[in-house]
Amino acid sequence: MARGVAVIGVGNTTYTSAKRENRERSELGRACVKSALDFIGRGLTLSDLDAIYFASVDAFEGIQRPERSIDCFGQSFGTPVYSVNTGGTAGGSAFKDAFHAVAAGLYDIVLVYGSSTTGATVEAQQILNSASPPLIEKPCGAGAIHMAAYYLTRYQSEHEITAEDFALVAAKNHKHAVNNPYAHMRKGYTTEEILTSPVVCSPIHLYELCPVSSGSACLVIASEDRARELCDTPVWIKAFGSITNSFLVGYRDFSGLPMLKMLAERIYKMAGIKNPLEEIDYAEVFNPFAGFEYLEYEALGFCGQGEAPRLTREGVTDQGGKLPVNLSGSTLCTNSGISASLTRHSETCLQLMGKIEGGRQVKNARVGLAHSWGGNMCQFHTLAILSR
Amino acid sequence: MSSMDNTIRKEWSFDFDYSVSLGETYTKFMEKLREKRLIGNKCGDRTFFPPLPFCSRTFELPSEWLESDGEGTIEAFTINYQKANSVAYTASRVLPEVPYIIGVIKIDNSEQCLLHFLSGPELKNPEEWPEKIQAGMRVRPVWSEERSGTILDIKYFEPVK
Repeated sequence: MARGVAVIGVGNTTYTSAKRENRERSELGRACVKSALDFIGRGLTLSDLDAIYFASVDAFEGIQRPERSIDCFGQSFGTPVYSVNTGGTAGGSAFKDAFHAVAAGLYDIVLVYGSSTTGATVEAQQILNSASPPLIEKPCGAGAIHMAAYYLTRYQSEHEITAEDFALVAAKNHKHAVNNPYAHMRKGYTTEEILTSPVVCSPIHLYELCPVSSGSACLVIASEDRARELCDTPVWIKAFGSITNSFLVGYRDFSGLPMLKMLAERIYKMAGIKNPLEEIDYAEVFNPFAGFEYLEYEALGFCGQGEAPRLTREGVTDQGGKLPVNLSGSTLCTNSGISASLTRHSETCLQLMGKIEGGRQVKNARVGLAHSWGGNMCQFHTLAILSR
Repeated sequence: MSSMDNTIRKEWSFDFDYSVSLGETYTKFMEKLREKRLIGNKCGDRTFFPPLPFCSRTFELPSEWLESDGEGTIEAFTINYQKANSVAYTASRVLPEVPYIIGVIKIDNSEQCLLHFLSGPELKNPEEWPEKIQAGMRVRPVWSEERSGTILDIKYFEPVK
């Protein structure tokens, strides 16, 4: 029987644009890990960490095996370091692997680090485009945004979704990012401003598209005994899983996110959740393209097919609604590559711990959901159910 | 945030070059493109255009080659309004002038799709695109004059009247 595992600490740095970043990578790493240790307090130090799970994508960072390059990841205490790379999903994947290791009894206290991946890039798209299938898809100009756009135009044609519908969910994220001290884009764009921003690739407007950010995040997880000893508000990991889709995008069905739906069914079964809208109190989903939040609501069973815009219009997924989603502004407002897939989990943990800043705290949140995707456009998903 | 506002920046780049074999399936597919022929294959009871080296469900190798006239249906699409710069997309010189359309095309009887440009005389006027381009639209390939055994030997797909 696996042991109970909980998140006991969250570390963050502030976020800025990659071009304005004035911190060196090890300064960022040190600040982020230190903030997690301070968050936990009780004398916990670097030497107490039994293992490090480091999430990044090498090419973005401009250095091969970037987990070696910051001297607070095991170098001084002989701590094992594991590098996890599932593209943009890696924050979720590293957290999941760390959870499994602690649950299995391998380690008691583990740090999961979501690196500031895109911070080093001069042009992040250069690296992103190198993830497209090179033989028959990349030559026809298919980059990340085009693949995203296919899912969204298909969603529009199947369910009569309007440009206003997409702008509405983007505006919800922008509104809350203003009050998130760890968000990068804090402009609070309104539906009107979003609709009048240029269309980059139809149907995606500029303000429905994530920025290239810099900043990192980390989590500290612990076995049940250590968690109770070190934390008054541990967040328990109830269920965690991942799923894999094809490399060729042409092999996919652009109608919704069937792999995420399959993963959600598995995870809800593990966590004993029958009605996600009723039983989950807070969710963070991965939305570098704002419209994906709708596809995710539907795959996660928050509503039926084509009904996601209604949930947003009626405020069900806004603060004060039945299931608030992305009160951080999510990936749409802050995307420093891999750390953005870990901040879905760290934000959810902070909500469940009751430690969210900026007036965004959801009252009595007990059960949370955190999701990430990446690879090339939803090639991988991870999904976690967390609880107080 | 660093207490220094003006830290020094250091830039570098990697110039990595790669060369891979296309293997048997894609070599044959690309060779036929040069002859203006679109081939696919059959794995179990499913057929694929373009062909696949193996079926990821049955794990079996393909049992036979198939050929298609390339007609198919638009499954999804996007109109690209912003020009890709040459740093972001090293092959940007082969991209059409903006705006242009990239479609997801399901060749008839194929279980998978092909990503390619949509264009042609019918689609001269970008103003009309949002109305004209719809999922379910029928299209066919238009071949490039000069072909070199790449997916761009198909110049674009055009609407079938």
